[in-house]
Amino acid sequence: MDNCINNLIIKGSGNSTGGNFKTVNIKGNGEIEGNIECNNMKVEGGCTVYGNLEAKTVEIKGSCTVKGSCQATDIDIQGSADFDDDVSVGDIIAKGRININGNFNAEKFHMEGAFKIRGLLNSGELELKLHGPSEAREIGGEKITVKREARFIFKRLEKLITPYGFNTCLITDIIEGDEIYLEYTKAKIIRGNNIELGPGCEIELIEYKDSYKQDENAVVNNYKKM
Amino acid sequence: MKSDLISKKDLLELTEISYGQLYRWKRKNLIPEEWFIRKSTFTGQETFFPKERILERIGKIKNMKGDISLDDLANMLSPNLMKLLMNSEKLVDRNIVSKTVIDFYIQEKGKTDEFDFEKILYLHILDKLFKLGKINFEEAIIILNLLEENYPKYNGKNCQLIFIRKLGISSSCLVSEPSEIHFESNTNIIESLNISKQIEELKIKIA
Repeated sequence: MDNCINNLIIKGSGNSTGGNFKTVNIKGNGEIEGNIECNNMKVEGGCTVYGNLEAKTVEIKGSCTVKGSCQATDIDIQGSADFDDDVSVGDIIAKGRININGNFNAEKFHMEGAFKIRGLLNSGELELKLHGPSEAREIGGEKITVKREARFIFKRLEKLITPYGFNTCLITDIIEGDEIYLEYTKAKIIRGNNIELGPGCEIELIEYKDSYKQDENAVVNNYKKM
Repeated sequence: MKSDLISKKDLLELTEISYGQLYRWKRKNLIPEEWFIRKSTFTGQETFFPKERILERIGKIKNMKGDISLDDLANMLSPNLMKLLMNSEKLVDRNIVSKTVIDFYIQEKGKTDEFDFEKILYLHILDKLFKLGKINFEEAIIILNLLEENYPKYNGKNCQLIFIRKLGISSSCLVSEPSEIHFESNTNIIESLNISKQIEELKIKIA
């Protein structure tokens, strides 16, 4: 990857078979019909990768679809991204919408928007600001924070379109972590050391080790200290 | 091939690690994906692990994580082969394999100055079987040929070496993991070795 000097630049509309590149820059619309390996990838507009994507940094403004697996050190998404397979990344910052059909590994995952993850979301530091209905099969990690913090403009728009809070929540089966703070989350089981629930949570079972706090607007069927 | 499982909750209690640690190690590939066995129980989905192997692995991680970084540790525990060459004197000097095995190899395969990781692995396995007294020289040839011809076909995937004997006639085979294999009752399974485990042992010896 490092000794490769070729760049792939698509401005307008174009396609490539993939390969090894130093930088990949797509402005407009690009299709990559195979695996791609590069240092930096930047997409402004739309991009579809039909193979696997391996990169150091990925920056997406617009939309991007990856049909294979994705591995990167840093990912920055503003817009929407679809991954059909597993995703492993160091740090990821996303504003918009993410759809992952496989498992998702990230050391740091900061997200504003909505996501849908079919597999396990495994993240060291997870910070979610919900702006729409989100889903994950399982969530695991060290520090997990889920908030619904609509920005001013969103809040007003949201109020116009939907009555406040309509289905803007996180739905998942299991959340397991060390430090957990949740708002507007529906889950079957939550397990952790320190658990704090904010408003709008509907949880069937909570198992905590050290501490547990609960907002009066949270619905919890059962909780116990392990 | 053992069906002894431990639930995630029991595992964490027993080993005194937290969910966060377990998930971090999983992210770093210190614990292989296939050990996470999802089963439905009356409380919903639960995750189970093969008890013996996970306990051994977690013990190893806890012991070693002070000395080296998690990434190096992951490298060491991964079943991928290392890239290295060593000559026979160094192998004997550092006590990685015994001289007997190297002599045996040279006698069978001709003079070899440098051994790559794959060859060292085969020697390590033979060495182990010799020391356990499970095989003799003739049988070692069978195993060596089997490994040389067929192990590369697994492309780094985990597999198991099974050595059997029936009425004094010996044979050996490689099977991918996890799989079930049954022999008729007259066949004795002399030894079955998990190759990734051998790789792990060898990497620790070399490091």
